[in-house]
Amino acid sequence: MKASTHTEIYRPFDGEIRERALRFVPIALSGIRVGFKKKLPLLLLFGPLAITCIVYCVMVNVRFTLESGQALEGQRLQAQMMAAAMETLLAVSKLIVDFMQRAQFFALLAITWYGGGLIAEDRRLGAHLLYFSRPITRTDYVLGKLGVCFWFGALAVVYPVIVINLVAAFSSPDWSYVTGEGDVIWKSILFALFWVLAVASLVLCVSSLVARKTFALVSVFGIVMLVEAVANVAAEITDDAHFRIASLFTNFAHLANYLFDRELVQPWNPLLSLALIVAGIAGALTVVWLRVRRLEVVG
Amino acid sequence: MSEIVAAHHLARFYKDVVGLNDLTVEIEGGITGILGPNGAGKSTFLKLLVGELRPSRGTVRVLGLDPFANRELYRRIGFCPQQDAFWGHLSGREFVQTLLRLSGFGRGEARQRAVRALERVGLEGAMERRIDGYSKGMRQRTKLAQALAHGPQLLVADEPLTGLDPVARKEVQGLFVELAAGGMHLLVSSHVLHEVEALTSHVVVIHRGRLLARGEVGEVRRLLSRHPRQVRVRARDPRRLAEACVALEHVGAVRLGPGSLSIETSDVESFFRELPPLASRARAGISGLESTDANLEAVFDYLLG
Repeated sequence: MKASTHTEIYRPFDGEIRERALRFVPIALSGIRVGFKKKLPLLLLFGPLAITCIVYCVMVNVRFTLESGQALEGQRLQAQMMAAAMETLLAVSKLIVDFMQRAQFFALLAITWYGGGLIAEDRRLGAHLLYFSRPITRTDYVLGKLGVCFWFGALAVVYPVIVINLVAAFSSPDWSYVTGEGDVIWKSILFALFWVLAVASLVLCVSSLVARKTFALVSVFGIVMLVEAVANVAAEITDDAHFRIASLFTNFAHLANYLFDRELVQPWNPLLSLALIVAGIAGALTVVWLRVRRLEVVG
Repeated sequence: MSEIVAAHHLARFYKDVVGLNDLTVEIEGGITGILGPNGAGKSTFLKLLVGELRPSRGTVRVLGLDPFANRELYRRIGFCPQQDAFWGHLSGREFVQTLLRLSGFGRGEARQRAVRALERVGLEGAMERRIDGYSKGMRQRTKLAQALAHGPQLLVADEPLTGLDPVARKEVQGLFVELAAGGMHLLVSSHVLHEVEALTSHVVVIHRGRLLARGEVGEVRRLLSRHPRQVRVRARDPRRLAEACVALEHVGAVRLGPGSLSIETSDVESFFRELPPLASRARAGISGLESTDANLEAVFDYLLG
């Protein structure tokens, strides 16, 4: 076609194409790249979260500074003020749990925004035709999409938790945070990842069932808010807290209380919450898998 | 030349809708046109060939392999779908590069091949622009580029000429011919007979999910000429021309209209040959001539009886 620049007409590929173990990675990377193209949602979703993260980092740092008695003489007044404030400051592990509970909602927003259209829009545009004419499997496709959700979910809750843990580790005198409360580090990261997995599964499940990103956004928030509202209202009306077992947020809060040795507020066994969440994730991923298998008959 | 596609009683159903039904066909190398009107089952057939769909019945083999979920085959074929399947935020180069990465190419090689493929389809000046801003023709070329970029043995293109302006269409047709000359096999679907005629003489005609005809374009044309053909002639004096045309042996019916006449002939080639001297003698002053049923739809109507 461009004979002036290309004398070569056709050169069949005769080399060896590398067999990749992580074939889903390019799918995930392209989704992440597309997500970063629009700056405004990034600013709106992650801006407040970054500020919150910084505030918690400062709180953690101040707490350890005061604990170690490093306030300088010239800063005595400030130190006294901070000591007063410390009365209200929670222990670091509690601060982290507190942060995670705030960040959960941002993670939900972020994953829904960036993940809502991943399968729905592919199907609407017929992009799955391009994916599946490449040497990738349906599993690679689902993992790739899950990877996109994970990245943005992690950006909202996992990475900030890691940062706060790092600040705590470096602020604590003689690494007391790592030696004394080391389990908080892995527990908090694991808990954040679990939240991301739960929300990502739900979002991908909805995305695989609806036709557009907008519908996915509305549906995810509709489902979450409706279930929350019904569970809480039913619990209030009947004065039976067991109704709250339907709530995603309550189950995670219950699990967090159990994991971080806090007082259990809900009357049921935390392991039941864990089982319910795992069952929900398995159900959602099963729906995703079945819908992706059926992508062949659409378009 | 050995066969590149072998379908045996191939069928695909979408619940109650028949996409393709009992299709048995063998396609040899080179360029083959897959013809049929909209909804004929061309896209279903092509999607079965590239493994996007699983056959409901029958078997299909492409380059000797079963295509469904066959990763080995996907390395050897390129698919240009009919749909505008793009991620609009990406540039043309990023789009092709991403798909090449899915094919297993490393970052550098993928970029190099993406650039080369986009240059070959004439998008060298626009490859860094976002696809959102591309025209229909540019999108078509981008789809073609992604199908070509990994150097497949077989290119399957579903309506690749749709949306292209005449110049671009000619360029893409030229590209297809060059690719075939270089050893690539091509399956090109279209519902416009003359588009395919410009590319190849080999066609497979599908209608309502069934194989309607297969062979040289000339044979399909001849099938058409066995049936009466409608020709509309615009003339200054259609009545005088009609009188002259009635005398022709192969003319079955003549209908007069305002400034034109419709002629039904059983031998359209003879009619076109005899019309100029006839019109000259009758001083009818011909200003226009069109074959109103020379499209593919009409061929199908005849073939279906």
